[in-house]
Amino acid sequence: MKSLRPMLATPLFLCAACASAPPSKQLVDARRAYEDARTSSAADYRPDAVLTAKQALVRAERAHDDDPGSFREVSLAYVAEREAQKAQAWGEYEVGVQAIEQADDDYKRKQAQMLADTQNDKQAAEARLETQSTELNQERAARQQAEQRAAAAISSLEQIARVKEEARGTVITLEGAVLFVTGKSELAPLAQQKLTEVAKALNDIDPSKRIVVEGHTDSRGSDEDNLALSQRRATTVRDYLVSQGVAEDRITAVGRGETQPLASNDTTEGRANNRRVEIVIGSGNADATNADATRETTD
Amino acid sequence: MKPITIGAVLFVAGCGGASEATVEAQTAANATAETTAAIAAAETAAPKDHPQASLHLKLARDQLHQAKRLMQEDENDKAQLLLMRATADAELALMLARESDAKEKAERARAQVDSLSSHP
Repeated sequence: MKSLRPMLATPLFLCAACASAPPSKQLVDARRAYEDARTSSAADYRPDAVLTAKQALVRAERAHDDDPGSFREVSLAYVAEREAQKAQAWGEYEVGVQAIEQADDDYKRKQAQMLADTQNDKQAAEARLETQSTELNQERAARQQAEQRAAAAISSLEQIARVKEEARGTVITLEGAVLFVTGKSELAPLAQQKLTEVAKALNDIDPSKRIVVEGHTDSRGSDEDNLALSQRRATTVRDYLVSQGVAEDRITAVGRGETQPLASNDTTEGRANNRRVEIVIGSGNADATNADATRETTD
Repeated sequence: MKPITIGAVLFVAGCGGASEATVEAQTAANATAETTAAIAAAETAAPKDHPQASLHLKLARDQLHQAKRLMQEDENDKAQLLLMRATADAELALMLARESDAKEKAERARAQVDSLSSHP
C-alpha cells in the first residue's frame, strides 16, 4: 500500500488550468477535501483509499472539462468530496486501531511487571523472615549456652567458696585465712590455685559484667592499718585475676577495712569470718558501673 | 431481396434498442440494490447520537428516494448519478461511525493502562 503514495502526489489540475469555464462550487469543495485527505494520516495508513478519492476527483474534473456546470460534474464532485472525507476518516480509524493495540500491549506489559514486582517483594520478604528467624535461633542458642556456662561456673565456684545472690550482684566470698598469711598481703601457696579457678569462672559467668574485689578485715589493729591492708589484699587478688585472663578494665579493687563485719569481732570464729575477700559480680554491665568503680578505687 | 434486407436491419436495430434499455434498467436496479445495502450497513453501525453520520445517512436516504422516482420517469442517467451520491454518503457515514468508535475504544484502553500505573 505504501507504494501507492508517490502516485497520490502527482499534479491533478493540469486540465483544470486550461478549462475556460470556472469549476462548480462542488468541484472546488472536492479538490479541497482531496488535498486534506492527501496530507492526513490516511496517506500513511490508507493510501489505497486516498487513491480511490483521487480517481473520483479525476472523473469529476473530466466531467467539468466535458460539460462545465453540468449535473454530472456536480454529482461526481459530490462523490469525490465524500470519497476524500471517507479516506480521511479511514486513516483516523486506523490510527485509533493502532492506539488500541498499543494500549493493550502496554496493559499486558504493565500487568506482567506488577506481577513480577509482587513476586519479587514476596520472595524478598520471605528471605528477610528466614534470615530473622535464623538470627533469632542463633541468638537463643548462644544465650542458652551462656546460661549453661554461667550455671556450670557458679556450681564449680560453690566447691571452693561461698556464693550468694545479693541486691548488688553475685557475691563470692573467700576466707582470708585461705588466701593470705596473717597480716600480709602476699598470696598464700594454695590461694593461687583457687584464684585461677575463680578467674576461669568469672570469664564464664558473663564477660560483660563489672567485678569489684573488696578486701575486709577484723577489728584488731588500727582502722587505718586495716583499711590499708584490706586495700592491698584486694589489689593483690585483682592483679592475680587479671594475670589469669580477667579483663583489666572490668575489675577494680577496693579496701573496706573493718567497716563491714559479717559477724561479731568478739569471737575467734567471728573474726575469722570477717577476714575475707569478696568478689562482687555486678548486676549491671561494665560501662554502666565504671564511674562508680573508679571513684571507689581512688577513695 | 431489398425489403428483406431492410426488414432485417430494422429488426436488428430494434433488438439492439430493446436490449440497451434492458441493460440500463438492470444497471439501475443493481445500483439501487448496492445503495440500499450501503445504507443498511451504515444504519447498523452508526450510533443515532453521531450528528455527522446521521446527516450523511439522511442525505443517502433522500437521494435514494429521489433516484427511485427518477427511474420511474425513465431518467436513468440522472438516477444513476444520484445513486452514486447516495452510496458515497452511506459509506462516509459508516466510516465516520467506525472512526469515532475506534477513538472511543482507544481512549478507554489508554485510561485502563493509566489506572494500572496509578495503583502500583
